[in-house]
Amino acid sequence: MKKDNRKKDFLGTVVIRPSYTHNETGHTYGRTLLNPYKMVTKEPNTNEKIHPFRYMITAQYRMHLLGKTFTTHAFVFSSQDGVAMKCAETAIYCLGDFESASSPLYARVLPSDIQEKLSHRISERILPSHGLYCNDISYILKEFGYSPMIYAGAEDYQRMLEDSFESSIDAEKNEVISHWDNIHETNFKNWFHYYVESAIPILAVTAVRPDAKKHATLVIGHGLKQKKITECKQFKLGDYPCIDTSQLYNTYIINDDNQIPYVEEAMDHFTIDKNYKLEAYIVPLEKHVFLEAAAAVTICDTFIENQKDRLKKAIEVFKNLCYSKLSEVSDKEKMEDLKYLIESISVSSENPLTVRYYLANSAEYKQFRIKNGIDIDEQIFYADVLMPKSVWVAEISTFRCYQEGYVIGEVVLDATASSRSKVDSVILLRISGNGVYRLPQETYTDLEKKLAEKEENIMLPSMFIMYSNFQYCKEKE
Amino acid sequence: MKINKSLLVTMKPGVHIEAKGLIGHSAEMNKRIGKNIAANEQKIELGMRKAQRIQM
Repeated sequence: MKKDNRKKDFLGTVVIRPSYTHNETGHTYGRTLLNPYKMVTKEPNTNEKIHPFRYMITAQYRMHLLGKTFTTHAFVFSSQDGVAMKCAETAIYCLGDFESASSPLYARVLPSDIQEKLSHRISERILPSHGLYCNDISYILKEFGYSPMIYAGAEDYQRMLEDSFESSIDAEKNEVISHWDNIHETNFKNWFHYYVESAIPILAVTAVRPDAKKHATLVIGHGLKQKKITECKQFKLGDYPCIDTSQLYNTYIINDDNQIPYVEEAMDHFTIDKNYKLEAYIVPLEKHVFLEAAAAVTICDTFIENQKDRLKKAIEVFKNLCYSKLSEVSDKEKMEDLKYLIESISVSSENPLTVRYYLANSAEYKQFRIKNGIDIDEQIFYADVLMPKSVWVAEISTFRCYQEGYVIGEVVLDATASSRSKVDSVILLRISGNGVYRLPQETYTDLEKKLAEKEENIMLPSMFIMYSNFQYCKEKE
Repeated sequence: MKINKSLLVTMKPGVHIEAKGLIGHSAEMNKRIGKNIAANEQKIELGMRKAQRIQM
């Protein structure tokens, strides 16, 4: 390593722990901080550089070596000690370490802190560890200042529902709840993806069978590989085919304390043993995020479904504008660009509407929108919106636009609102060049009024840049 | 080929889009949302009950 490049080439640090026996290395990774963005592969055909961990959550860490300061981006990893800490405690320790590095809201969690909290809750001895129940993990996370939610697969949901709620459900069974929702039905695996897209580390619990031994791993991002459009379940939004990005990805980046750091695994198989399946997961939400994924997506879906005619017209207006520009230009390169843009916004079963849902910190989201606004009108529009600390966003694009990082519409919800607020949680609606928002003192009726009285902003660009919660994507922009 | 970002600056139709939807539908929307949220909450609750027995 050249002297001048030391800081640039710095990968991170690994603490090596002593092994239990002379030939065993399974427990020897201590606190490990390696920069995933330095790991690059090459496309075999084009030789193009690929960053396999671009959709991974990281925090910035600072280290001091021989009087010099080095920085790296990493998600902390530690292998399972097996005696003092099992998989669940290791996952809590890594999660706490990451959160303390990325947010001033949280203090660093040491193994002794976990054991101290456990000693108040568990009646048995703490050491050696016997592992933890899901509820114990959630309790500890709550004690450390998170507002955790537990989700578990309820495949037997329908049967249990019929047993326990038979009378109430029967009456409503055949009633159409929502045209969109009936076909865009989400379950705990979809919600899982929305939280990954929100850059929240998830504590996933896997097992071979529901009654067998469980294993906990941290899911810290998703892979690059996308399914083919034909493999994704398409829904209908008015006349348009539509997909949800949770359908598009099937691989996730995990930190499993029985493996090496940053492993890409298929959905469900978050352990070395590929027979394991996702049983449950715990999401350490920030305090005051009242609206969880399932409720937020339901509100967004109902709202988008209500807006389908406006969306269709906006796309037509955008396309007509492109055609009129095309008739005006003579430069061949510009003509090609316009033709490509028309192709990109033309919705078909090969290029369906693509909806991406995520939770975001509103300060970061607003800052991004202002900094990356295509023009001053867009920047002013977003600067004027007052937002609570956290927001849920549903971004609507076509599949091609999504691939290139552009959006044609979005709905922003107040994530600190109660699920009982329903449509009153909608803060902002933008469809192509038209945008309208609600101020804190205003109600949803005021938003309706603004639209009815044509008080919306109509001078926004027809297409805008996609926001990302992931550090790598943020730095690229 | 990629979308030309500089081209997007000129892509401003500047017109109000007249279409059905949003206005006067909030009560119906709230009813739909309420039912869907209740169904999802039941799913989450059942999952929670199951998760309480899970030990790692």
